[in-house]
Amino acid sequence: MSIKPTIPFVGLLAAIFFAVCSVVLFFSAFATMGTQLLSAFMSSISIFALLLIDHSYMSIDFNGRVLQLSGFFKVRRMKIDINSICGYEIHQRVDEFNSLHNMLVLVLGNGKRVVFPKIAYANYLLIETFFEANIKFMGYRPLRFADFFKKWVPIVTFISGLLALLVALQKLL
Amino acid sequence: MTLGRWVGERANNILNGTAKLHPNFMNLADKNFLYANRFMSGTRTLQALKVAKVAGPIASVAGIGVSTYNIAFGKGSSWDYADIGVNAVGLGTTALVTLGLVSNPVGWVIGGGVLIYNGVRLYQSFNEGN
Repeated sequence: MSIKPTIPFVGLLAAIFFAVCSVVLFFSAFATMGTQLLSAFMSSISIFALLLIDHSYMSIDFNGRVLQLSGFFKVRRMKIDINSICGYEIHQRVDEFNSLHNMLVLVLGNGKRVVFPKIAYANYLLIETFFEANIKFMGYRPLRFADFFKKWVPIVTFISGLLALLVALQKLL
Repeated sequence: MTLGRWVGERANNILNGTAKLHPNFMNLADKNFLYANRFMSGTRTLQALKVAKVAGPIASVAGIGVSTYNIAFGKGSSWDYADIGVNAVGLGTTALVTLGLVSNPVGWVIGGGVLIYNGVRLYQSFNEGN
């Protein structure tokens, strides 16, 4: 069985945007120590975005005994024996893109947790079905104040972005 | 009318208007099947919702772009550095919450802080012009 992640267009565009900003600042005619530091900061964000994509958009392969997880750019690779997995949990989450939803978290024998974000997979139900059939269920963790987060997270993100845009427009005028 | 009040009223009108439009579309679709595809399952509506979801982060990115432009072309102030830093933290938090690496309450605190910063910055930039 093999499950592939979706292509993270938003994340890749963000990484490219910050890389371009970094280059523009680095080669600016008005370069100072401040702009060089900002350029380094933006390069770091770009690399961080790529690492996050690799960390979260994992391919899942299962051959009956071993669960193989490999990152989007193949930097993160994990081979997990099915017997070494303690189980899986379902966490209730709210985010900008999926609103209120359930997220699968694999709990390994050494205490580590592997998160499978919903945004990374087109067919999340397939992973749920696979976990249900092969791995022990360890519990459901509801989100406290879920309705509050569901309502306000998208509004706060939108208004915050709008205010940032208005500040930017004010600068251009 | 103060700027804060003006922004607050506009935001309130937009949110109330959106909330009213949604049931209106639903009622219209119930009464008239011709509108059903258009408002309930129409791809345009779904596309608009998808755009709305990324509108906030895109607006933040635009803000960072303008600040970067100002700094790169010698017109930047220390506020531009602060704007980039705060909005980058906001975007990073959105990404971490979406990928399940940061809990919702932590994301809420940081997101709220970024919102307050941007609100204060807008007020300040209208009054001082930077």
